[in-house]
Amino acid sequence: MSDKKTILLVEDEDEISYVIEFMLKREGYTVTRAKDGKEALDLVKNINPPSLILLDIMLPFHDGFEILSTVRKMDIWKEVPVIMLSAKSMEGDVTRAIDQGADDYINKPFQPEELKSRIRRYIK
Amino acid sequence: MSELVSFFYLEGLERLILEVLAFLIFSGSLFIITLTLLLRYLRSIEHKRKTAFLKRWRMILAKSIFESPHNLPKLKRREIFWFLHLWNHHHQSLKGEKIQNLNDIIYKLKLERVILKMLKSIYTRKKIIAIISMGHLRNESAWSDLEKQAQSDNSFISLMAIRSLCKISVDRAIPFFLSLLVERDDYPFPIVNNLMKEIGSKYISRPLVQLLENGGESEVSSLMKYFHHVYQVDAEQTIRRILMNSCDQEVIARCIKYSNNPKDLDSILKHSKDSFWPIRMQVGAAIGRVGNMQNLPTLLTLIDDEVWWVRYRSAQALLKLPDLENNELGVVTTQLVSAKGKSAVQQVMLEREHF
Repeated sequence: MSDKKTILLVEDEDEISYVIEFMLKREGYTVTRAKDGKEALDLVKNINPPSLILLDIMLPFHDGFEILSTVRKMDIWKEVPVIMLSAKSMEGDVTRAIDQGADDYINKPFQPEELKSRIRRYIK
Repeated sequence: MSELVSFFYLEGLERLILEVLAFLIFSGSLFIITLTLLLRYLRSIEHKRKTAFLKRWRMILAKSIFESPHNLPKLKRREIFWFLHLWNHHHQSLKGEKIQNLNDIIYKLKLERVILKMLKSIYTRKKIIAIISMGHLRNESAWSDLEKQAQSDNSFISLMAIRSLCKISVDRAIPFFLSLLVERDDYPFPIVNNLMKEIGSKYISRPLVQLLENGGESEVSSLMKYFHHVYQVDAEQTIRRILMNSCDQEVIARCIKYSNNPKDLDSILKHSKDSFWPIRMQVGAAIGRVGNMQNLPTLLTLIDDEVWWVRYRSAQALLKLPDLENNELGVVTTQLVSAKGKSAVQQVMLEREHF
C-alpha cells in the first residue's frame, strides 16, 4: 500500500525541497529525495520504482533530461509518471521534456495547491 | 652542527638578539594557532546556531503556507539576516494566495521597521535583502525609500529596487522605470530584458510605445532595443514614424526588423544600399516577410552583398517570396553575379531540404 504513494523528488535547492517534502508528507505520501543528478541516477538503479517522479531540470552532475531518458529506457521504471519542475524563464525546456517522455510540468514559482492537484491526477 | 654548537657560545648583544627573535617567532606562532582555533570554534558555534535556526524556521515557514501562523518564537537579532534570506527564498519558490501568510509572519515579528532601517544600511548585502523583502511584502510605505535606491549609482541595487517597486505597484513603477532606463547607460541589457519579461508586455507595451512616440532621438536609441516587448498592435504606427524620422543606424535596423506591414515596404527599400550592413541584412529579411516578386532585383543585389549575413538572410528571404516557384529558382539564381551569392542560395536550399 505504501509503495503506491511513494514520490521520488529530485531537486537540488534545499528550501524548495523542504517545502515540497513537507507538503507531500502532509498529504500522506512517502517522499525520497535526491539532491543532484548523480544521487538520482543511483536511486533509479537501486530502489523500487515510485508512484511518481518530481524532477527538476537544472541539476548538478546530470540534468533532468538525462535522468528522464534513463528512466524511460528502464523496463520497470518507464511507466512511472514524471512531472518536470522548471524555472519560468526556461519554458523552452518544457517542450523538450515533454518530447522526451515527461507526463507534465510545473513552473517555479508554483502554487502548492496546483502541484498537489497535478500529483493527484497521476496517483489515484 | 658546528653552527648550532657555536650558538651556545654566543655572548652579549648577539645572543640577546637571537633570543628575542626566537621568542617573537614562538609567541607569533602561538598567537596564530590560538587565533585559528578560536575562529574555528566561533565558526562551529555559528554553524550550530544556524542549523538550529533553520530546523526551527523552515518548519514554521512551510507550515505557514497551509495554516495561519501563530505562537511564533522570538527572533534573535543575529538571526534576522538568516530569517530574511529564508523568507525571501520561500517567496521566490511559491506563489498564490497563501503566500500572504508569509507576509503575516513579518508583521507578527514586527520586522517591517527593521527592514526599512536595513534599506539605509551601508552594507550592500543588507541593503539588497531589504530591497527584495520590501518587494515581496508589497509594502507601500517603502515606496520613497525604494525610489531613492533605484537612483543608486550601483546598477544592480538600482534594478533590484525597480523590481520591488514593480511588485508594489506596477502601473506606478513603469513610468519611473522607463525614465531611468533612458538616463542610464550602465544597466546590463540581459537584466533589464529579464525584468521586462517578468513584468510582462501587458504592462510594458503601451508606456514604452508612448515614450518612443514622444521621445527624442536619444530616448529612441536607448529604448529601441527593448522593442520586442511591445505588442504588434501597438508597434506598427511607432515603427513607421521612427523609420521615417530617425538617422540612427542601429534604430533604423531595429525598426526594419520589427516591420511587418507591406505598407512600409517603400520606406524599407530606401535603405537597401545603406553603408551599415545590419540595415541591409534587415532589408533582405523584411523583403521575405512583406515583399513580393517586384522586389526581386533588390533582393538579388543583396544576395550578392559583400557581407555573409546579408547574403544569407537575403537568400532565406528569396525562398519565402510569394509566387516564386521552385522551378523558377534555378533561373533566378543564374542572375546572381557572384559565386558567393550562388553559394548562399545553395546553402539555404540545402537547409530547407534537410531541416
